Amino acid sequence: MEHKPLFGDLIAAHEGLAEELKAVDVAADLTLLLHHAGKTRADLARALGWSRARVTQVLSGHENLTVQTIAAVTKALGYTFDAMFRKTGTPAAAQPWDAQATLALDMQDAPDLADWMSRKTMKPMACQFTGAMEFTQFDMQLDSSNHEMMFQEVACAA
Amino acid sequence: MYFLTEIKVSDFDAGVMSAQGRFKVVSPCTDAENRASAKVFEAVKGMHANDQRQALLGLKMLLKLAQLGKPFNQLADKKTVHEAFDPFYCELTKKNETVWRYRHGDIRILFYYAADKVVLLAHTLPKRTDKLSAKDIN
Repeated sequence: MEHKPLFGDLIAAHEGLAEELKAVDVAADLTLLLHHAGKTRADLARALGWSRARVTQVLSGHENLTVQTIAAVTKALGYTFDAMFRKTGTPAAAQPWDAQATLALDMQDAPDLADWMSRKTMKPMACQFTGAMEFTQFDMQLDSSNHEMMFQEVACAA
Repeated sequence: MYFLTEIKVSDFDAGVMSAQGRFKVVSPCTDAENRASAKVFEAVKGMHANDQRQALLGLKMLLKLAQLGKPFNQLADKKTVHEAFDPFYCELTKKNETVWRYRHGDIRILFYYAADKVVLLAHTLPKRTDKLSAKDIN
């Protein structure tokens, strides 16, 4: 079933708000990229020769950032960016920090190995894997015609 | 009786997936079958035009920052996110609770952290001064 945006009608009632929300998206994504890159606002200010106030302003979501500003920030963080397009309502592309956030959740939920191996921790992953992949043919030369024989799917005990 | 509904980025922009390790931002709602009964939705809907606009922008920013799964005060400066007032003893949870305040322009979003990476939106209100009054706190 298609998910109807709760705030969709309110947003549509304000002229130009959808575009302002995109500006917020960009500022928030730059903030998340900053933390994903392990940098601080002070690091970014130093790298760009900006004041701390300028960095705060850029990341606040209050400013309509130029492409030059976005490019400067991403470059200073060791990244680049592309303009990616999608049909309205279709899934958006994943960001670099999406995988990191998942790992952070797993580690927080399972601070030690016993918890890590527990069913509680494994449960969220269960829907993604129907079985474990076991390496069975050690002496076979792998090529495009036989690569599927290299693995045999077995039921996963977890 | 209150129910909780998660407010997602896709409530602003259809198709945007939520990160798995995010803080789940939730709002109480009065009708489990009707998400429009969410307190945050009613609060924003009841605002005047410009406040409503700012509230939607602020809420979107908060939801985006929640995707990283880190406390908001690590992601934004102290002026934007800080404790709304001193911790208070909650009879319900039997421990000291801290209510946090996120600021976007004239809009203040009050929230607190609950178990299992849940952020409960307590209140969304327009505020022209920094300090919360006793009426706002209550």
